[in-house]
Amino acid sequence: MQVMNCPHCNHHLAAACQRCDACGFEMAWLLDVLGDGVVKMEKLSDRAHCLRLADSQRLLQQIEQFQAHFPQVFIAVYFAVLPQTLSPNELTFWLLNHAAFDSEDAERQNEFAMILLVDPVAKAVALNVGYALERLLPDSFLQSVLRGMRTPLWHAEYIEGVEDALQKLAARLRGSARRVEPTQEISPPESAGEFMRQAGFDPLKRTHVMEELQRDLNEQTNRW
Amino acid sequence: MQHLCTVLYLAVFVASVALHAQEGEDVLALPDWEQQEVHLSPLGGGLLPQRPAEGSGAGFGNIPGNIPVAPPVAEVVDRLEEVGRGFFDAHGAPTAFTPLLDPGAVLPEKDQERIRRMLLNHGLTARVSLRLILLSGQQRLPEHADLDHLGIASQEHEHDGAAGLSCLIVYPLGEPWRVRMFMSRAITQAAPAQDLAGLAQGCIKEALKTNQPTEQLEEFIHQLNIKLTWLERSYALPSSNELTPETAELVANTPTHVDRAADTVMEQVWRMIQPWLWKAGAAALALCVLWLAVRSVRSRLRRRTRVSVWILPDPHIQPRLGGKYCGGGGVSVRY
Repeated sequence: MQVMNCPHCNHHLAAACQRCDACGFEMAWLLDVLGDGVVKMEKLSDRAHCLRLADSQRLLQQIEQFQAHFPQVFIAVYFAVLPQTLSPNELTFWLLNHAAFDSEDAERQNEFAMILLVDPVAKAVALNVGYALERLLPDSFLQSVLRGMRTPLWHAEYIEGVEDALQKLAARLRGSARRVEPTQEISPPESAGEFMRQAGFDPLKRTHVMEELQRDLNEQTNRW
Repeated sequence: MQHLCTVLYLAVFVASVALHAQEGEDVLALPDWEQQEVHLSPLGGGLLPQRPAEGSGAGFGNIPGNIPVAPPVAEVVDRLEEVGRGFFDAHGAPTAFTPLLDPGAVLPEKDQERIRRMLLNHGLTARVSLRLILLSGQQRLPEHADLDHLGIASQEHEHDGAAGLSCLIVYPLGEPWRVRMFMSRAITQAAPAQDLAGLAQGCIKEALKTNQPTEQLEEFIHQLNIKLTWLERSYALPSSNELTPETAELVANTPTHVDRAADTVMEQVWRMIQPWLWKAGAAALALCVLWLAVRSVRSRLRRRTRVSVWILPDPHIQPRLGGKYCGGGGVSVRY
């Protein structure tokens, strides 16, 4: 049985407990601070402005490749500067329960999500996973992944650190996963109307320019 | 009267001639050779039947010692008596080293002892072990004489100063021109055949300077001792622990007993391919390893280029801390 810790006091939590026995922490604490709304979460968010454009594209490509290999899994890398009153573990815990991840695949569940949070000011990095990944990625393994990131992050080599973490996570998940060949089934639309709805041809609004164009077209037709 | 005088004169002349003839016989005695001895002097050898000169034996090369070399006289050879099979059975594998083999007792016991001492003295000073087989003048070796067997029996003996250096002499007493000399392969590979033939010629030439058969034999052994010693020094013949790898392998691979009757075609083929077997096996193994490596690399490349996904298990876990998708946990470190 995987033993999880409290995001607030790091005390061991019993199975199916609704509040921490040591500090009384529960979701309601975070709801009072961060709210109960659902927020949109991108694959890569750099709110700390520590990545260059090329680095962002490179890291985004790595994340998309990771998610392509593991179609059930979300991963979000979040660079932000946190207030001192909010710990990284608390924020990742709230995000995993209230974030709508940027994905076109509706079958993905937040249970398979993981968030990597980097605070370059506090020089802290946190990693948290959903319920489905708890057994596959225990805290001890996550701790080793983060320890491996410390040196590149200390040198402000954020891309190298995150890429190394992604490789370790992918290797670990492959050991517990079942390998299958991807099948892509796209059926043709049943009718032309359904095709027009799915084609993405959005109709433009009728404007003054369009009316003039239509009038010119009619005159030319009559002249002929 | 005149006729009478003539007859008397002739009678006196004949008598005087007869008298002078009788006196000449007393001074110069004609040789009393027997007809058999005349027939037993073939200058073309006759000790052995025709057999391949080089490489026919497993470990010994035949050095033709009879000079001048001429084709054997068939009639004379036919009259020679073959050595019986019992001779080889008795002397094929001697329990003790006997440098002198005299199966027909052609030498008196006193002379035998002297020759044996000479051969033993040679063994103490020389690396090349020497073994002498004595035959009588009327004897010859049979058609399928297994001289390799005799020589190897000598070679194996601990008396040999250097393994693989052996010399076998088949000596017909009183007829040194029919002598045959067999050197082990280690010697024939080190020394050229011309030098070995010259060695045999020199020994025979020195032996023929005397008429007495025993003295001929002694002189032959004496000269052979000297020339073998010089042969060792000239070509630096290796001792037992100085054998070159090729010679050591040759000596080790030399069969101790060659059964020519059992030497079938399959055995010859097997003997020919045996040295190549391990090389062929190693090559086959290397090919298998290479094939497996190529297959593994191709499989890896194919797997890498193939797009595949990994499906994770979906366990059911009781929610904690009021979280629908995550129940706390998580780790953080400072760097």
